Amino acid sequence: MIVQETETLFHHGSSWADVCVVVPLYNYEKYITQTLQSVASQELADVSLVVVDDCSKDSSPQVVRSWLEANKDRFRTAVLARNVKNVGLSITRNTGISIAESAHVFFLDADNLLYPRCLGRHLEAVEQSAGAQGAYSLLEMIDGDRGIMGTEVFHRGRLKYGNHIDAMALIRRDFLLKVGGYHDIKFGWEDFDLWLRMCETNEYLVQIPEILGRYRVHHQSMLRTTTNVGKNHVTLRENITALHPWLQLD
Amino acid sequence: MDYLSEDEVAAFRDSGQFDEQWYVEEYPDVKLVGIDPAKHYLWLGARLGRKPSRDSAAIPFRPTLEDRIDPAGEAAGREPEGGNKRATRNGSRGAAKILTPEFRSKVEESGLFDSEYYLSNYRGRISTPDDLLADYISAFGRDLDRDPGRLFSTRYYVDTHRDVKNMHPFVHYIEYGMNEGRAAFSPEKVNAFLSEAGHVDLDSLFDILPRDRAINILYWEEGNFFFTDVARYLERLLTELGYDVSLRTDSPTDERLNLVVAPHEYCACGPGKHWTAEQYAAAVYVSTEQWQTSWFALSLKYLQASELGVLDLNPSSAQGLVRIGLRAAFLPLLPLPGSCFDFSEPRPLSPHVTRFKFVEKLSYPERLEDRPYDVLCCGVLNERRSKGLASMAPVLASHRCFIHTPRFNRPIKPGDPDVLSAEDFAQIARNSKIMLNIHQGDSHYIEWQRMFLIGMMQGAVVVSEPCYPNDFVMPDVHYVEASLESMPAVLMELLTTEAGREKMARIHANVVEMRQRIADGERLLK
Repeated sequence: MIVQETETLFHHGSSWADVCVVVPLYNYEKYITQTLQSVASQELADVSLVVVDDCSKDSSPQVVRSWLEANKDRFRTAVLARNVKNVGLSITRNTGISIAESAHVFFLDADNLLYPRCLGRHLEAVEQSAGAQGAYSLLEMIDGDRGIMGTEVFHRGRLKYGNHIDAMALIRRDFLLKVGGYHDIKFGWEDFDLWLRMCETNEYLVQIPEILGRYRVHHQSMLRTTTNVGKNHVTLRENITALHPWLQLD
Repeated sequence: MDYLSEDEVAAFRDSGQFDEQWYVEEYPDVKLVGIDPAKHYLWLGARLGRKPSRDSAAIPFRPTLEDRIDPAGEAAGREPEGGNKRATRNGSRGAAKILTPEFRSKVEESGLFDSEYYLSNYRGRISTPDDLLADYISAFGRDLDRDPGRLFSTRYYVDTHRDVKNMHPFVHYIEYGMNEGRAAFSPEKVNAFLSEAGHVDLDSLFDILPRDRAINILYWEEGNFFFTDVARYLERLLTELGYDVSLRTDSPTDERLNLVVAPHEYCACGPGKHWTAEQYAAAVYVSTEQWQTSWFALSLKYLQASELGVLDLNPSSAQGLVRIGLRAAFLPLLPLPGSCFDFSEPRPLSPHVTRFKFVEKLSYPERLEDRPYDVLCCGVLNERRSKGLASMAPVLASHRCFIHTPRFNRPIKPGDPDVLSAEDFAQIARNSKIMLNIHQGDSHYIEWQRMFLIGMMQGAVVVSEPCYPNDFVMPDVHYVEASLESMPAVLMELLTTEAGREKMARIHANVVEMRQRIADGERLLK
């Protein structure tokens, strides 16, 4: 698994909860407090938290550090680390996986939000689904186009036409380590690539048929700024199809 | 839908003859039907003389709405410019030419020209008050939005069937379109028509099926499996009611009364395709489709041909048929013991459901408040439902839900893990306090199979957007009605307040009592 060298800006606690929320952070000073607040408001009592800043140009890490100082007692473990250089989303998430020693990692992007039952339900789902490597739920889209997403189950027959499952999922950490975490795909779709690699080895995520998270749709998200921009989109389709020749993308 | 084999559709799609994007844009009704465009073409489009791609034949001049208004088709080949003015002139002349006694009688039979409607909507704009049909036909060039009655939509017909040219759309529909099964009723007009029904006296099943006649129940073997279930259900019900019935998939030649399930399949494509007019007239039909769909349009001529009448699976639809002058009875699908709609026995969920979804332990408790799921919502996702669910998300997020709302952008293949069988759906409903109904579009049918047969009959409290009124189940008695805007607050009230819990208990008791009456022999027949 490719990870990045980091410096630790904040560290609280010494043992790890069953679930660790990993938040990759880049230039989201405007949203990160609300995001972290939604983690603190979880009904699940025992939670660890790792925030990895990918060299934000705004004051995101300072905002997180102040917030953690005030809220650290909510978490079994709370860590703020900073990549020594900007490396992008995949490697930043992998860095979070390497820091978090919990059995399960929940990926939460710095502008998204959790409903209070989110982590508890995900943990329950994974614990009761021995065959699954993780769980995901339906998500409410906020800010931009309203709607819901993640409404279909995880299966190869649908994923071959395109991704319908966001990265906001709880995944077993030993599985992530075994498969080398996220691969660095130029311009995005690293989560899709992970699902496709799972399909290729007959692994899957179980769907929780409830709305448990909120996905922010806005012009600044990576999907809008990098992935869907003209030529990048074409290149991305070519790249992902080269990696997974069975795809028949829409 | 299994009308055509997947291989057949796939072969056609890959043949290079079909341009899906062009087809969907060219024929906007395809999207309304909501099925795979290639399948639509093979099933219906080809029959309507539509083109599979832009280049499949040279495209003639595409007239604008105003250029397509010559009622008698005299304008073929004329230049497009100045169409409006000339068409008005031609329109008057053409109207006289086509209003033959034969045409007038076809209009009369169709029930689609409503003098009262016409007078009240276009008062002050009528030039020939003694002949309103002639007025409508000749006014087309001046007044594009004028309709002949509550159902036929002139503009919708023109917009939907772009191949109809140089002929008045209503004339086209009466002369050809109805026979071809073209959709002619816009969703807005259907909605208005079915909404405004006051009390309508339906016929009874016994009026339509004479008790002394032996009956053949007919369905198309290659058609939608749901209609096979309906045919089997009818066999079970009619036998119980004392009829001599025989379930068949061929075209019988005996003297028995033919009861055709889903005429848009059996008569349009199946063994009834080559029947004589007398055979069509002598049969009784089971109508299964919602009015705004092409399938209903394809059925309508058979329903209208029947001398004895129609049984309809939906109460609002049956009322509508009576209002356009047909004899029609409601045929309620009920959980009759031993029938294919009896889901009363607890059964394990299909393995694909429990593998791919995290499912609560189904405990089938006696009391509503002990049911493990708070809210069940099941239906194909579209933009309307997606936005509706998003508006309720903050409420739903704090409750145990089973939200099964997959999108389907391509034909559904057997074994698709996003398909929930009626049996599995019913098991979950049996374990849910509330079943949520968000209408798919602007029509407000009470979807009997979903809301009644699965929701209410499994004891769930159905919370639905307002439905067309009917005599069988009522809001605040058998279900809770709420607008989409008020649904979050209504759910909140039901799930978290004492008054709400009492309301749920009352409605639950009513539907349980109804289920008991059905078990005791009540069949909801008039």
